[in-house]
Amino acid sequence: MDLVSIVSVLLISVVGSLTLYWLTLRLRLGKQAALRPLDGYDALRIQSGKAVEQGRGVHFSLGRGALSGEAAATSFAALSALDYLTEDGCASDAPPLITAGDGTLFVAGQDSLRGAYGDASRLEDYQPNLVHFLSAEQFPMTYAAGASEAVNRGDMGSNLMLGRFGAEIAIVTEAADRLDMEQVIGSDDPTAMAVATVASNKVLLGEELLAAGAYLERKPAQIASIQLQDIFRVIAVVGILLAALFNFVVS
Amino acid sequence: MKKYRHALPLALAIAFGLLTLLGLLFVPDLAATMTGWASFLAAVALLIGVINLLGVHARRLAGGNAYSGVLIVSMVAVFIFALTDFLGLTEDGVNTIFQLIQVPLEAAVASLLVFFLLFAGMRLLRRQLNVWSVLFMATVLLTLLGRTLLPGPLAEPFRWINRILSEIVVTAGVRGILIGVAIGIVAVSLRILTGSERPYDK
Repeated sequence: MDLVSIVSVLLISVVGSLTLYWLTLRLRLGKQAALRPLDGYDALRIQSGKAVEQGRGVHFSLGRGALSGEAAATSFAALSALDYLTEDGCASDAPPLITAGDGTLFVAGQDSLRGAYGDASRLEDYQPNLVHFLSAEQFPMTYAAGASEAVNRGDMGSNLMLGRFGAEIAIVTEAADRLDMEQVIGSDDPTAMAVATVASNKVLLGEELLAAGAYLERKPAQIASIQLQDIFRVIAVVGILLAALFNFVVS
Repeated sequence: MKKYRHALPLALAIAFGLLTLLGLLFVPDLAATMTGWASFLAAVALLIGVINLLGVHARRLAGGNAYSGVLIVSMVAVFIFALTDFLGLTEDGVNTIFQLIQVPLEAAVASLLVFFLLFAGMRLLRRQLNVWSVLFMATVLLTLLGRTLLPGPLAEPFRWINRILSEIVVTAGVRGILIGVAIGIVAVSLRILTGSERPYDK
């Protein structure tokens, strides 16, 4: 790795961490921060209640992005959303059916469900079989076939898909749409985002998905990281504008 | 003791995260060792997943689901071929099965995607008829026309529109989204490295 890259990574890590710490401290001391409303998270919050009300389950798919790979951040965000849903669902006896297209996500999904039952002091009700492994990461269509089958079981009322997907998501959303299910879809992949926008009104596009913890748990550190993202975004926009201006002047 | 239950995973996660980051920057061998360990754990997780898949379908088979039976038979067949490959009784058996069955099946399902997308687009118009859905369908039609075998002079304007759409509009949009995603990934990584977010500590 060249010197410029090393300095950039260290600078972003150190300055970013310090800024994150400072922003978290401000929020803990009572400084208020507003998050713009997102339909996807509003819908996600009421899923467990809806499941109890309608007597129909919730299908939650974690996608195909391994926790040890480049999609790790996306998958961690999806797991944050799952933690929220399992906590809510296990307390009201309506745990979601979880599907995963990767081994690490499968294990993390089981851990999330077990943790939620533990928090509800109902560990004896924990059913590991509510988490299904569908396929290895490199077989998107096999994953789509498995997830569609989970959607088509007949007892599902909502289809939530958050994580790393590709175009194969169209097969699952089509199955859910045919059964008139409410769908919340979030991904960081441009193709999946395009397909999701067609399939549902409640879509979490790219960075919106990565803000799952902040929207659902609202802990100071998570909200601070959204503020940090905004700071980075302003820096990126100014940088791009300056670079474009420089190129324009030079040429 | 309860205190250590939370402190130990946190300390381990931060230590290994920082070690991997510093390894990537200064000692590539260290980073390679760490990622090697992660890959090994991912392989173990995959094995656990496969056992889960077998368990789920065994139960379904017991409930009379014939498709689950097919899955279990396939799984056992691949396992037997892997064993015979290993013992030298067959040569490249697993790969042959993969090439003859899995690859064509994946390709066949993938080829259906275009129809799924088209139906989803039609349904979008039915669900919400607004300026965005009309713009979406107009773009789909223009793109399709630009890629069909229209006669020369008739095709030219559509190809031109197609080029503008894909090289300027789509590229700009996708890059904007990806920059946002990259910034989000940095924020998530910093949260985990600083211990603000602990997905491993339920």
